[in-house]
Amino acid sequence: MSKPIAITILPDASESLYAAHAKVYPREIDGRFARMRLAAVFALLGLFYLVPWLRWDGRQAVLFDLPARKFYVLGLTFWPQDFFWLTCLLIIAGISLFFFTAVAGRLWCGYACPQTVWTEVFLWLERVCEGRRNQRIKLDAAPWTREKILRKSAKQFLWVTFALWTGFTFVGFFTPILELAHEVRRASLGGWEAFWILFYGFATYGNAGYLREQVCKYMCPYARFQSAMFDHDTLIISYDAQRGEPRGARKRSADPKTLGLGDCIECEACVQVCPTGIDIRHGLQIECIACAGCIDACDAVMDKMGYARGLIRYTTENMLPGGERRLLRPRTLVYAVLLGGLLSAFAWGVTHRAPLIVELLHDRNALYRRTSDGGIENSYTLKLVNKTDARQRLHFQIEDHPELRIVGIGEVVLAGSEVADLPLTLHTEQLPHEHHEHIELVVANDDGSVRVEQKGEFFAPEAP
Amino acid sequence: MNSFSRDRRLACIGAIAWPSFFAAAAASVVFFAIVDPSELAEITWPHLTISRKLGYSIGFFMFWACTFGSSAFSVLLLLPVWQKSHDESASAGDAANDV
Repeated sequence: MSKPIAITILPDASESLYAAHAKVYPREIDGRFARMRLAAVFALLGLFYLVPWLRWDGRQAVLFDLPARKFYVLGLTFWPQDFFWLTCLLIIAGISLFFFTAVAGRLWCGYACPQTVWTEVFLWLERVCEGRRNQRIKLDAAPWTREKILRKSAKQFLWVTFALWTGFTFVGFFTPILELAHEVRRASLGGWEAFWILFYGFATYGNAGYLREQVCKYMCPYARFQSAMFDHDTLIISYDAQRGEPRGARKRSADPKTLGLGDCIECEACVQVCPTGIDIRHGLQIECIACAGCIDACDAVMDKMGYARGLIRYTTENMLPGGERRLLRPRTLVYAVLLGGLLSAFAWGVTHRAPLIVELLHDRNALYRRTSDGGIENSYTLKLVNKTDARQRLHFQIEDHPELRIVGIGEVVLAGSEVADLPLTLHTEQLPHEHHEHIELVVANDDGSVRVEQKGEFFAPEAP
Repeated sequence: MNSFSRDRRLACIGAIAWPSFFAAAAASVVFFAIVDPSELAEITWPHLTISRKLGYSIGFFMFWACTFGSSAFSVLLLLPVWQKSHDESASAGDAANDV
């Protein structure tokens, strides 16, 4: 069934990593996958630009308030002590990436990566001002005329405006966006806000406007290690060389069999649409971000020629020569189980976080103090953090030590999100048996729905 | 370094700036999740008023300076190796042309 295919040796790819860069002019393309990516662009960028403006209970719905060290996500409030959950979330994100890469290849790169999504928008703005691919190439080669200056400045104006808006939105996740908008209107922006808006705006402008595919090729660590997650059943975009070769131009009416040709008509459409400027017909390459632009381009050509679609298609290494696709395999199962377990643990953990933080710090200067009535006292600082937005009325009690009495505080009422430092003294009239007693302070609210235990020490003089 | 092309030099700068930025960002997140910059200010220079925002920024740029220095040092140590392979491939190219 298989026929021999002539192999051409290409120059060493590692050398090209540092070769002089040639500008890529991706051709505009319409098709199934281009429309899917457009939907992804709208959904993801829509979320990014809209979310900071959403309100929840009279405050910004999603706000990472760094100066106050509190993160608000919809109805949840996260404190620095909840950093564990952020770490957990990052691990989940990492394993999701592994899982989706093992199953479907570089889905992330093609549809969801901010680099892809913002580049798509910048390319669209470029197209609006400078025209289609051939017009852009001509314009760049042409001398500076009035029209060229006008077109280029219009593009720069749109790019810079969009980049600044992006930077503004980004900072809006960390500073209340309504106040920020107010400050921008009155031109009274704080130094750090202005700096980060410009910094993020500049990064967007540079990455999406100029660096583009070079970010994926040279800067992205994922592109370098994604091959470790690939196997023979991972979805890849591939050219069917068995069907396409030998390639060659022909008339639409000609029968390729009599000409001794494969289905590839060498129209180069797949090369022109590629945002990273590669030829997919050379096989799987590190530069390919799996955007599927070449599939759309080739399918359109196949339709025109009256050939079957799929000369370039999503396939796997096993399927290409006619094998079966195996979705369930040890690698995907392990990732799926890990992902499922971590997600459930995260969901349970985040909704069952302790509503109160209690810290009991022993006085550093004196271990104990004798009182005039012959008793012993230890002093502490009690730190309380109400992690909820509701008021909490709290009681204190020492477990298993009836001889220890709490002096100074009886009941404490904490407002929502209130942090309190309180002095706390423990008093006893009878000398404990041990020089060093382990104690447990119990902090509970009225109905017992909140109950936090905190360990501590009680010191007394050595028994005579 | 003189025989290095402009692109290679740019690649060197990128290889220093980008990973060090990435590492500094990660280090800042972990560090400031545990340490409150206003408490840090209290135990270091209590007579200066350092806001949390300023504290975060100082921390980030300090981390970046460290990681940037480390990456730059790595490049400096690797330069002779690259230079050697560059020269070898250049002379191999010459030899091939001679034949």
